[in-house]
Amino acid sequence: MSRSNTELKAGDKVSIQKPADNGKFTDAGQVLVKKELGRGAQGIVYQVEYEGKDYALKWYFYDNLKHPDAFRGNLEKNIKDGRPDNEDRFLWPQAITAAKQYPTFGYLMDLVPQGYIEFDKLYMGYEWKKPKEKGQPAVKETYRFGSLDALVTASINIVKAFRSLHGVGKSYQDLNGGGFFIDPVTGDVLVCDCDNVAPDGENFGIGGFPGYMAPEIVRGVAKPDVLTDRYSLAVVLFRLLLRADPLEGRKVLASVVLTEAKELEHYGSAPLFIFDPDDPANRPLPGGNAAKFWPILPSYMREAFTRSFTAGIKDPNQRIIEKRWQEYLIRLRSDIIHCTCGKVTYSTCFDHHEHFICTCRSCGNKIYTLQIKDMLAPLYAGLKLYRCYTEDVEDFETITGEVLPNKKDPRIYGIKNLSTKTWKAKFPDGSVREIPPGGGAPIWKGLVIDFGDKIGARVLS
Amino acid sequence: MSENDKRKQENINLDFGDDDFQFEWGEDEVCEKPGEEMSEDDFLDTMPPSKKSMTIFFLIDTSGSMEGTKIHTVNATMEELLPELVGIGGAETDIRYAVLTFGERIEWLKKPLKVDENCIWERIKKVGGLTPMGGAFKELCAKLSRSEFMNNPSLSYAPVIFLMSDGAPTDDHVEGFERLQKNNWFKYGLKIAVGIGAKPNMDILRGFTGNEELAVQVHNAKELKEMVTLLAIRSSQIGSKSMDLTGDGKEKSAQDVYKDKEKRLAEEIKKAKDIMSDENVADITYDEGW
Repeated sequence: MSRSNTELKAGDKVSIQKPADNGKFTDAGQVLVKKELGRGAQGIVYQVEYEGKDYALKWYFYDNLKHPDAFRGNLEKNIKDGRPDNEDRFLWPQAITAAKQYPTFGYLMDLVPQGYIEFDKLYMGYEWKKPKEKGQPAVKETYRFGSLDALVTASINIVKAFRSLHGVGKSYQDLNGGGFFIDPVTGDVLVCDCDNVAPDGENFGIGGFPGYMAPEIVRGVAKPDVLTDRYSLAVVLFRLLLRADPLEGRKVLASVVLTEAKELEHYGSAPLFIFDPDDPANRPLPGGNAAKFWPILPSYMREAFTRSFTAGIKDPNQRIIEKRWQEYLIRLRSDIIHCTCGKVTYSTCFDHHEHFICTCRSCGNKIYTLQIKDMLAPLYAGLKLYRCYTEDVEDFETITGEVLPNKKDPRIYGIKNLSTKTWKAKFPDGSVREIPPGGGAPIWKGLVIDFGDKIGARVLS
Repeated sequence: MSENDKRKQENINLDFGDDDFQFEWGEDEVCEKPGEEMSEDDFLDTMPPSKKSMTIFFLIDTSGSMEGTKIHTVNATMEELLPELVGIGGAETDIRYAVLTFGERIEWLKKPLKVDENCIWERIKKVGGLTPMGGAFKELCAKLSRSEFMNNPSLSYAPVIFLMSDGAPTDDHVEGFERLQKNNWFKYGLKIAVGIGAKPNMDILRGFTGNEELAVQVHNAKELKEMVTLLAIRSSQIGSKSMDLTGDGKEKSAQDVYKDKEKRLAEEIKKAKDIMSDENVADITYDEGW
């Protein structure tokens, strides 16, 4: 009997091991198999119970692993190393099954919590689920981001996760649409399939999909590493923000049939960005998502994508580093205007007849611009300031300020200090007052705020 | 008076000066021509990106000899197979299927349908007549065209073409096959043949697939079901996704990747056949067991 046929069934007990203090893997009890959650070419994922809590067990088809011993060794190393930066965005391997009990092995990780959707299903907007009962039709389930803010937040979270991973000298290797989950309401991200993660430069036989994979891998001349991860990351971000593929334009569509040779050409030997400024041969079809949304995307994002898919498509070192993406995307998030009329979109969809004033095309509302550090943010009711704006840190999650109406006179809007530090601001009467945590300063044309540590903001006009 | 002097005068002790505010709007953000129409589309209410598509053609022998257990097994297999194919193309590829039967008549039982939306099998009830395989080849060839069945507006993967027969053609299969071989959809497609029972002409089936491993003989109901299910699922998975990538450091040419999917499928089928023969599925005299 082939090893790859070893499957588990409900009720099976599988021994697992965890690293002890001396680094050696030692017995850590058993997991109880409850049910199969899904299967793919690499193996099966089971729901299991361990010490009273449910986990996921990924169980490999041994024969399909190209270098099983090296693969297991790498997995053990990842378990020992733990999550990069202690980042809880990774569904990281936590324990490995004992070597002798079964002819194959697997690893234990947390289950994906309720509400998280695989990226490629969210990208497509729906999925068809197999019928639960025989003779019944399949069930279509639709998905959608809760808000534009959640969409951009998700992209920031993805970048953050890969920055942590690359920061500890590892690469993900097989970045594709099935590799991570997104909460469409909050934009929270979970990176799964971390079993292929390997020290930069090493590879245990993981390939990938053209389209997501860097052209040099498709061509066969490179193996996955941090730089190829970076290409895949740009593809993911492009797909997320534009809901289209960066290479699927006229030239590719003219092929009609995507044979292996055509895939090699379009995604490997002669890839061409749909918005390549020097070569219009692969422009997207008119009316499609790419054609519609590209002009609306703020210019710094367009420039970043253009660089990723022109210079960066040939020269891996030209690809945008995660830190830079993070800055662009944080800026993009603050470029989303929530107008009082209900319109929510990027500031580029507002008129800019006057410098630094955005005028809503639906209701005529004028929105001033707040400059913080080197960033411009439209000042609308509900705008949130994050710690990375008001302090010299990279925390883009903790809210330190918000634009709110005054409780006593809702016609007056102000910036409320939600941080733990005392700010200073210039008031309309010319006085400079301290803004303690919980306090606020009214927004007016001459507003200047000092957040401390030489970080300031002012209203531009 | 400079901005800094003004501040001093107003006795504002802010730690940042004009140099902190050198930033300007990007050119095309401010200089957008007044009145220029820009799309007002909501980023969240976009249309779904276009899916690629992959069609699996089932060519099923419905000649008189298929009557009884054989056609029942085919029906039972297909009934369970179609729901298994739901979602198998992943988020980005639609799997479509079409069914051409050849027996007393050559007819399309199903023209290409998305399996996600139509996973309930319509049972084949009528069997009878001879085995006009050559006619079926011609009919398939006529429909493997951009102006006929292969009219998906977005990209397609090459089709999977699945032939099931328990006998030998009773018409001129050579002419039909020659025509089919010139068809590019057929040429790049993944061809699979399942010979049912003891009497299929395996030489013709092997010729059809062009790859010995992809022509399989099954001898009883259990084998038929297992083999057809395995072949259909794996060929759909392989056919509806991009090629697998394994780098050996050398620049790949079109020649290197030619029939890459077919080779992968053949390898898997070889493994599966080994497993099945290991399991020694049945001891009965196969053609009697139907």
